[in-house]
Amino acid sequence: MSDQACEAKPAAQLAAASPEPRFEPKIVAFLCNWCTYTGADLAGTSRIQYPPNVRIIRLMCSGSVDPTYVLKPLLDGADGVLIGGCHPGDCHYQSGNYKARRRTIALKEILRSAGIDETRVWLRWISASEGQRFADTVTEMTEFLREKGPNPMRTEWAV
Amino acid sequence: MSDNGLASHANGSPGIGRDSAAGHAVLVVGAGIAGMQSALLLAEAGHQVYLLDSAPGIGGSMHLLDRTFPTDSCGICLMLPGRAAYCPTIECDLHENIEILPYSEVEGVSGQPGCFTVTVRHKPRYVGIEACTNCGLCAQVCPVERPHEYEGESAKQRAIYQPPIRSIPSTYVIDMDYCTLCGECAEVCPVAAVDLKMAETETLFEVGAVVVSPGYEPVDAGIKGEYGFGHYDNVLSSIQFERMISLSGSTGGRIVRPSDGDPPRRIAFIQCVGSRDPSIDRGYCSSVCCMLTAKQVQLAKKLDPDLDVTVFFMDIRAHGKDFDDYFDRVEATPGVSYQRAMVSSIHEYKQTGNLLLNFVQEDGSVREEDFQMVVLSVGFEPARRFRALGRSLDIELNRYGFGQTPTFRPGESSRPGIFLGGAFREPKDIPETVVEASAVAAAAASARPEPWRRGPECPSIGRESQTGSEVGELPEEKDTTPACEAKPAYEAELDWPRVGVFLCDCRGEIGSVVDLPELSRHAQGFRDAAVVQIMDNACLLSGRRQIAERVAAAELNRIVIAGCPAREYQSAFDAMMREAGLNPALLGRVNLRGEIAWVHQGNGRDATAKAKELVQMAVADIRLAEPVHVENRQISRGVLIIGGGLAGMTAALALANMGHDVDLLERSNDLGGQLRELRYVPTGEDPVAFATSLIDAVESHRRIHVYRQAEITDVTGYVGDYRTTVAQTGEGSQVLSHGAIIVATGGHEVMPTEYLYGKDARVVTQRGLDRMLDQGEDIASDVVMIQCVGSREPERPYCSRVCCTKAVTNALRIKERNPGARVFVLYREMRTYGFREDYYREAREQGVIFLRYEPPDKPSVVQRDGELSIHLREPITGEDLELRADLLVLSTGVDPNEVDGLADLLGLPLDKNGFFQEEYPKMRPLDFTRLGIFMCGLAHSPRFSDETIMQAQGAAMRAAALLKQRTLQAPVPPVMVNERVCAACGQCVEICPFEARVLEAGSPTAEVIEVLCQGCGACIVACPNKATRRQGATVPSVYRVLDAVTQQV
Repeated sequence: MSDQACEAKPAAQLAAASPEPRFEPKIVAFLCNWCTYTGADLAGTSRIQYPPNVRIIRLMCSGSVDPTYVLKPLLDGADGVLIGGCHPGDCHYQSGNYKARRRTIALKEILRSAGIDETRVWLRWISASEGQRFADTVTEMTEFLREKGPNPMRTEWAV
Repeated sequence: MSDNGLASHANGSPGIGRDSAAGHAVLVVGAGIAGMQSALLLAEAGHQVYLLDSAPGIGGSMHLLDRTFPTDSCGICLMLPGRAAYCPTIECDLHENIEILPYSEVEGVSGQPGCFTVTVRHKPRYVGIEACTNCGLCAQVCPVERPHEYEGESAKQRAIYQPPIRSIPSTYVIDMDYCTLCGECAEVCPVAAVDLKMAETETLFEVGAVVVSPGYEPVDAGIKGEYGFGHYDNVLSSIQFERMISLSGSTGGRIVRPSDGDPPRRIAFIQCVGSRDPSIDRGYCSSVCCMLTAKQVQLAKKLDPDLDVTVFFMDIRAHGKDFDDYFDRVEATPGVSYQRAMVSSIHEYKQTGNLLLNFVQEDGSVREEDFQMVVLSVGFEPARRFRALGRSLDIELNRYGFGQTPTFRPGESSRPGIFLGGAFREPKDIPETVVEASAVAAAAASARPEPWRRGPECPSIGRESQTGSEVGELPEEKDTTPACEAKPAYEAELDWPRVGVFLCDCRGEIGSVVDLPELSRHAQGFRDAAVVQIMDNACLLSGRRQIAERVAAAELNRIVIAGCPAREYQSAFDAMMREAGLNPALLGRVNLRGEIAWVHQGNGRDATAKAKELVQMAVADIRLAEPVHVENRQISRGVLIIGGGLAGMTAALALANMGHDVDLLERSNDLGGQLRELRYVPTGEDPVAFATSLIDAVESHRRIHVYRQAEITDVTGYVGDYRTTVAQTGEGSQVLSHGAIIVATGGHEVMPTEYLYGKDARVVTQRGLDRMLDQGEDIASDVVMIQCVGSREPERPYCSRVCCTKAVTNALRIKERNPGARVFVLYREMRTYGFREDYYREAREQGVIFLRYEPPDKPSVVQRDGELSIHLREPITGEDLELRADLLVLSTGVDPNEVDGLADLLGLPLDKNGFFQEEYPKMRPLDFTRLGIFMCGLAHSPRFSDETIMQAQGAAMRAAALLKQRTLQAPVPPVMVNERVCAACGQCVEICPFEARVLEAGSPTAEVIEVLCQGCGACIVACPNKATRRQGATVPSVYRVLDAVTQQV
């Protein structure tokens, strides 16, 4: 955790304190630079609106998503992790998306055995031209996680 | 610039531009897949390019397609020269050597090659590119509609409309053919971008060469009235269907009937609508529709596995590399049926919207069937405006209105200095288009050894930058600092982090959604944020200066700019960093505009909260960033070409004319390869004279060194620095050094093993017939030709592409010599694609008889009473036919030359048929995964000589674009190894797709070959000790970024 707290109260907490208690999940998204991030940017260029629950981290390739990148936010209380890569056959680096797929399958196995809800991790193929698909994915995942409720790690692992 | 540079380039002196000042760029007309590819390759090789398109934005038919055969994927970014690239439209926009001229037409060209003056008319779009924010309010109030080109004409859009979103610029434009000048749009526009009085302007450009690749247009499906297109709702063109099955299309990838929105159960495809049809003056074959339909069937079946599909066709033309494999897979899919039949009419049932198809089967019988939807597979035609374009450019068009080029100079128009490529020359698919675009770039580039560049003495007259949907001004002198500068004396970055955070308003784009003052106050509290400042336009020169000044004043050593995405203004900001004395790796970017302002409109509170986190994430990241000093490796500009046939020689000449030294290896004692065997081309040129002049030009060029009887015994090194051991008979061996290698090892005619070949002197191959015709021998009166001998058979499953045309043109020559001769052609599928269809039709008109056979019932040949007798089972009637022949001609295929050993030495893959396997069949047809090695000619696949020339020039251009500089560096910050923790386990070596990771025997640590590293990061994850990391970024920085996200939970 960053040791420098912010003066302003984060919006999420404000929201939690306010009368309408709708739960707003927080999603960490690891997007590959070439396909999914470009698709996410296209959603912007096309002014396609989607919920502000996602925090994008741009990586060169979905194949460079280390399992710990997924584990850490889940343990720290993020509600979901989205990994976005190129469609099969489209990987800029030939096979990075396949690596991501293999790792994600293995990681979900591990999450399950550790008692962490593996459905909080999504892997999606979104191309550079699929701005709508990116927005739809974020919308769908946000609704899914709203339904599911907060990551229990938020309370169980509270320091 | 005649003879492909053969005539005057013996001493390497330039053709075009010899006596012109060095002040001319290249004009590329047409910015589709071909034009963008040509422009990017030229720009990469150091030329300056104007990229013009008549459409409001660049991209052409790229926008139509999101999945292409044979890979069923997009991958369009892979066509670009480097792998570190976005969509081609974005790359064209970003490239400093390319200036986009959207919505413009060429009005006239005067002057000489090397020194043309081109008049360009800029059409008014009635919307200011600078001002328009693409908010779309105008289209909501516009009362009139126009046909929507990209979704097929039956869809509508408003008269003020946005071009396809990936085109650049994608700013709104008004179609004045439909506009009623009501002024509603101007009234509603919040930024006063609409200007209904905008006038067209004209500009003169000084250019050295012109590349013309304006593409094609799909034939209007309504031209075949009997199919009811435009009258029956459920009759679609293949373009409309393409958009329907596209995930980015109007139905989002759902197949539905336009009449009622229901999913259809039975779909019919009708091939050759507007192709192979002289009755509507489109006698040529459009070459791609067979495969396009196969792909559409495949994708449709994926979207709806229960769909029942029938395809009505004449011949299946799957003549491209591995296309037959793809087609066979599609044809074998359950629920897919291919029917060889002509559809004569379609009638609609008024009640249901279903369609009754009336068709004539091969045996002449007429049948009717019901379908719920019909897709008309439309051909390509030249756009109507090409006539005017041809006149403006003063170039010849062929009888159909496509660009006319000679066989042995396939990229050249009738006017020297003007080059033609892509579908404008002949309908063709994407791989061929990519190849041709590279080739015409080479033709334009090899006109002189130094690049075409604008000079101060001939500025483009009186115009301002129109490229930008952005505030694109680059007034300062070009940045010449290499990205790898020497380490600065003062390593400011080693001090404790002092981060400057600059929040860009982007002319109100961001501030209108995000509360910037609030964000600024909040960011003051971030750890090590020394300065937080709001700016209007960080990207402008003034903004960049402001940031640099703050760096000095506040002793900042790290910067975060929050505004536009990282790829925008990258080079400008990098230059700003260097100017401020900071390493560019210490700049972090936050995409407030694309990730927040444009996607969370009207939600200021959440948008601002999210912005706070994004900026905090970036600060957390940049705090730990380290300077990157990328290795800048000296490379050789020389090129090794393996194979001295048509492909190898053509590539050698193109490269030599671009100023590269070429070593050309030939296994035999003579240059020429298969070209020496070529005696006749149907277009009438003289192949023998061409071969002689080409060999002469190669042998006498001072930059080309020919090694005869040469074999390669060893290859080491990598891109920029290949070392090849070459052994020559009687001369010993030597080690040669090159920056790139082109493989042009060629192929040869297959020698048949059946049909009494070699046992009866009257059985010859097409080559044998060539020789007889060439030597003026009498040709017997009864000639039978058998197609696909040894091709499309289990031992050689591929189509050899050239044999159908060869048979047809030889049949015509026989008929010309002896009009009374009876010629029979026994075929499986006539694949006379493109304009070759004309020869096929002419042969039928001349009385050549074409009889089809199907593989289990191949023809058989026997000698009976000293006569050759050919038996054939007619596939429709099942009847046995017997033909008597005085001469039996076998159309045999093409085999690649035996290269197993060479492929091993080069570390290159071969496909199952023994041809070299390219990296990506669609978009990188000339490349290998191993960087710096390219291929062309029969080593790739069977092809005609004009196609080989194109491919060779294309390969040459790829190499030239790669070797443009004397140094090479990794395209993105490469990975590095922490030697203290590396255990030399080799997992990184195994996982690296680019052979950039090596572990020498006995070495205690794995290493990185920086110039090969593409930055994917696979090895970083694979490393069990975390000894590998990306330069500049550390794994802990990702963790700190994640902390910044979750601390707020």
